Amino acid sequence: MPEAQLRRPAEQIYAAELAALAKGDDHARPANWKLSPQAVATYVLGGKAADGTPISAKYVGNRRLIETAVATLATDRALLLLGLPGTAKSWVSEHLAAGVSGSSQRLIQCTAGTDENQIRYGWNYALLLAKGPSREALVKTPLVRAMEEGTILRLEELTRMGSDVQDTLITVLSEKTLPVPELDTAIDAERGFNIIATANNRDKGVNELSSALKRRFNVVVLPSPATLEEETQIVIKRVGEIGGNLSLPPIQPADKELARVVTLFREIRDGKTLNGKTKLKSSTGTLSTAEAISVGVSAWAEAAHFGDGRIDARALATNIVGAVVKDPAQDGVALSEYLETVVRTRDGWSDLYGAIREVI
Amino acid sequence: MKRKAHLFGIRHHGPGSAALLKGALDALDPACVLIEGSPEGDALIDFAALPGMKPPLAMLFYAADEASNAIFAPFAEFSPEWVAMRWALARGRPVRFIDWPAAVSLATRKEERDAELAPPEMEQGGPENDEEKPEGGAHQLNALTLDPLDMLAEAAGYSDGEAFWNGLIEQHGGSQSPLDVFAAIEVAMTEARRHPYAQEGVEAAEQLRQTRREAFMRGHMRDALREHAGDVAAVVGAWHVGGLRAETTVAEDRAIIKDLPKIKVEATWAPWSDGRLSYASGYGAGVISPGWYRHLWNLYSNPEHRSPEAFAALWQAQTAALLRAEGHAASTASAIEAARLALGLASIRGLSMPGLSEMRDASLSALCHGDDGQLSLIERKLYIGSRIGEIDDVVPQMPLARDFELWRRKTRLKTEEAPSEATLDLRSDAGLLKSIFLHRLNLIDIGWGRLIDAEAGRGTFREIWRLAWTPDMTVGLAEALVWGVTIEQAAAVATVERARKAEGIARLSDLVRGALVADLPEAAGVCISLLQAAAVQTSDITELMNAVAPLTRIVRYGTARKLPQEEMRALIVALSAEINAGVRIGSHQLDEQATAARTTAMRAYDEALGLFGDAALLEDWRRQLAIMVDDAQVVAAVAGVSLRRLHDLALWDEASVTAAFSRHILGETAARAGAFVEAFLTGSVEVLIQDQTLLFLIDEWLCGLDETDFVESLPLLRRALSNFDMVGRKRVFERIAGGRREQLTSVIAAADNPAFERALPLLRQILGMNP
Repeated sequence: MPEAQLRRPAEQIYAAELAALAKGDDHARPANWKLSPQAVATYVLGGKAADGTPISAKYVGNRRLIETAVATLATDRALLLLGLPGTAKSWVSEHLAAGVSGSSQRLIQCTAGTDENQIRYGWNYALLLAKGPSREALVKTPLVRAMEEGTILRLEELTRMGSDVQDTLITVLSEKTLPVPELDTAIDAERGFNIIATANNRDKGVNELSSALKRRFNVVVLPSPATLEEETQIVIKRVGEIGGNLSLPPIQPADKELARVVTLFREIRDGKTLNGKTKLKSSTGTLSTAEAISVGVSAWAEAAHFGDGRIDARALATNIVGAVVKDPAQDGVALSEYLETVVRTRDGWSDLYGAIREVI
Repeated sequence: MKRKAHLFGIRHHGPGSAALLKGALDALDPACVLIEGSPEGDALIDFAALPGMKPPLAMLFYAADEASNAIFAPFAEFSPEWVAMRWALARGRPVRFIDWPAAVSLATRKEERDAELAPPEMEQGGPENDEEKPEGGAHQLNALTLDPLDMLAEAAGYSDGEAFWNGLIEQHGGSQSPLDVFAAIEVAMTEARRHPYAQEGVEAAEQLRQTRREAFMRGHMRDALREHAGDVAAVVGAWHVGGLRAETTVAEDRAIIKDLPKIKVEATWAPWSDGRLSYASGYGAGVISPGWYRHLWNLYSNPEHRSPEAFAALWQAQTAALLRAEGHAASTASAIEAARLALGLASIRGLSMPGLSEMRDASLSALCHGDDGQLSLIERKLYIGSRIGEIDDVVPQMPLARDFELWRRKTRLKTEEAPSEATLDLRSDAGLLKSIFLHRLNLIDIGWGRLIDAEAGRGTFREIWRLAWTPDMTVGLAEALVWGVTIEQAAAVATVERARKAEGIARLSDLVRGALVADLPEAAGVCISLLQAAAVQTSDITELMNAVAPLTRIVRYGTARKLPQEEMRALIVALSAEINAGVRIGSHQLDEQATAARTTAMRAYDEALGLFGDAALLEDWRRQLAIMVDDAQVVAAVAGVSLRRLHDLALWDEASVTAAFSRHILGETAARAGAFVEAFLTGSVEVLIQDQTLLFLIDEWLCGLDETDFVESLPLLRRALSNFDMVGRKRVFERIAGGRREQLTSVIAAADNPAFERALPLLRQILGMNP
């Protein structure tokens, strides 16, 4: 079954690593944790298990941030991962959950339409009408299940749901219990239960994070990759992993092409060239690391299926334009300006100039 | 002999070292304590036990004949040297300094400077650099860029030196005695020094310094061993331990320190500050962070703070309090979470106690919602601290420092490093006193306060000062000793001394003002007579004029202080008489720059004289103005200003003004006429709008010019008009455009004259009204 799955969860892909870490883990584990905090940090940041099994790095960046995140979970305090779009918040959240609870499946995707019943619990109305309120008539949400099992609950895009709905979580976070007044009882959390929420702080259409809730989270801000090299490394690694997962036909390594995409994204995002000498218009798109990765994957697919098995400027061009130009009027100008002032004159970029010019 | 000598290699300003040292001294109970530091400070050590001595403090050593040649040896309460001093004083054990004398180090430095052979970093840094590398008390280990113990710590896998010490302290709390730890340090440092890389890249001069200093130290140690039967403890920077154990003979050491230069040195206690302790350091690993070190010191010296929980909680509570003071919501609940997180992080990172970086990460996440902007607001206060040391009243200080302290208490000004603003009301005694104090300090080059309200000098009753104190101002006080032993005396003497050397009327006039606002009437008197004497000598009328204006303002509006009214008036009369006598001849043949300065000065002088209200002077001056208008040799601009004054004051009737005006422009060269017109018009636009005749004269003059002259005079005209504001220029334009039509229809029917219409756009341009 798992082989047919489009995208497998972290704990399955890295089952071997998790097992190796668990085997050699002699640090103290908090109740219901599958690994010790130190081993979780190693799992996310990469390293070696006690028996020498290499552990791949899931997050490339500041080690201290991940340590703070794991320490937060270990002190049974809820964790909020905050950051710009595409800074690996959900990615980190998934791997932390996989490392701590062995499962990243307790997940609520928060949206503007999420209501309290989807957070707290719902009712099986047929049963409710037939037998009246009872525990059996309760429909459990991922929150309730995580509390009962003592595992990590992931809340994606916390701020996309209304502030009033967010406040449902307050009692759960501060008292680790969920009252069910209809039954005059409460659902108590097992040890090991905790919440990892993600939210981005600059997007449109998000609600304020309720301040009562904010106080109950420890916040870790995930920054954009600090350097070009770091970002390029992330993109190359992730493109390889996703492409492999999608069983895309293998192609020649395209590290150099991906490096160009990252350079281009960084320059337009920062509104200046890498050497800082030329000022540029920035686009309305976020041009995050995540988008650079998807450009890479799409270009791979295009090159493998329709091209000559090699990611070239032509395969990149359409995808780059698609990522940069979100608002045709404004971003088109930004991109052409960038083409004329930077791409045209840069050594070895003339193929890219021609290819993009053809598309726009 | 060596068995009785115990060497305690410490990390300067390291609280961990200090705690360990205290334990070691308790265990050894030595008969005598020796400390790395200049022996001139021996006499000061006793005062360290006084209750009024609150670190951070520094011993200040300065050359008796040149106080700017000075060095500081700073101590915090967590400095091992301070701890050693206090330990010995509490037990009544002899304690003294064993480094090379400041007399030698200062003389050496002076020689280096005189020969201009000072190492480059000294040249760049100037005197500022001295505090960075003070003798004795602080990092004298520039032989290595790193503290050698930091290197050891790094080798042992700790993030910084203090974390390493933390580990050592924990160990000694368990099984190891502090004496064993110091023995281990001795072995390690001796080994480290043997390593060739240790001396790599060290300048020869620096190596020589090290050799000499260690020779002195060995000498002192021999003396101490001879004098005392018991154990002798020497507290020195860890780096020196290896050098002090070196097997050398007395003769060898004597040879090293023979014939070194020496100068007379004074030593005194001076207040120091947290900011200076951490001078030129960031918040990273291995640097001096007084706020954090103080916290560590509390941990080591108070048993009840020993638990990691209390340690983390105290720090996070402090962080939360500072955040609240900045207006952020940092609750106690969040501080508790931050403390828990710090402990959690320490355990993940395998530390027994949270270090500074764990504390910071935890504060950021639990107290600041991940926003490092909030944290950076309080970082300075938290990590560096804002303490300034205090000195017990009993301690003899140099007279100026004592007087400074008396004044400071009298005026209730606080010495603080963070800049603050003080608004003084000079009508109140307190305000006046503060103002006088700050002005006097400025006169002796101590920039504690800077007057920032420019209006304040004009006799208003308010002064706004920006205050920022730095400990090196103590050096300034020492330097000022050459002038006197009280602030008042020094300020007066300094002013008079400067006045005697001063060149130029303007400088002298500044000094007069400075002396007056600093309430130094005698010094002001001397400056006034010097100014008077100089005025007779000078031929520079412009300078004299510029001197009169501010002096008149003082006499007229006062400075809220006692004024030598008579002398001041006599001075102004004398200066004005000089000006009136010399202004005509002095206005012949000035170059363009001098002319510009002169016309500005003339206007100010004219105004000042009006304020001063001496009828005879005023009359004389106006007579000179009239003469200058008619003197063909006087430069055109000066004549222009003169005529304008005569016109404005209605001393001449319209006909005479018009006549003089036309004399100066009609038939003159374009340059001369233009300059005249420019000078005449500068100031107020009314004259052009109200005085029709003048307008027509200008018109006539312009029409009469041939093309070359016309083009040549255009820029001058434009410049003259550009001084008016937009409204004024518009009115002039309307006046010209409309005026002809309405009032002069008999002469030319403007509306029928296409040439006039065509000229209007050019007029707009001259008036600068085109977009």
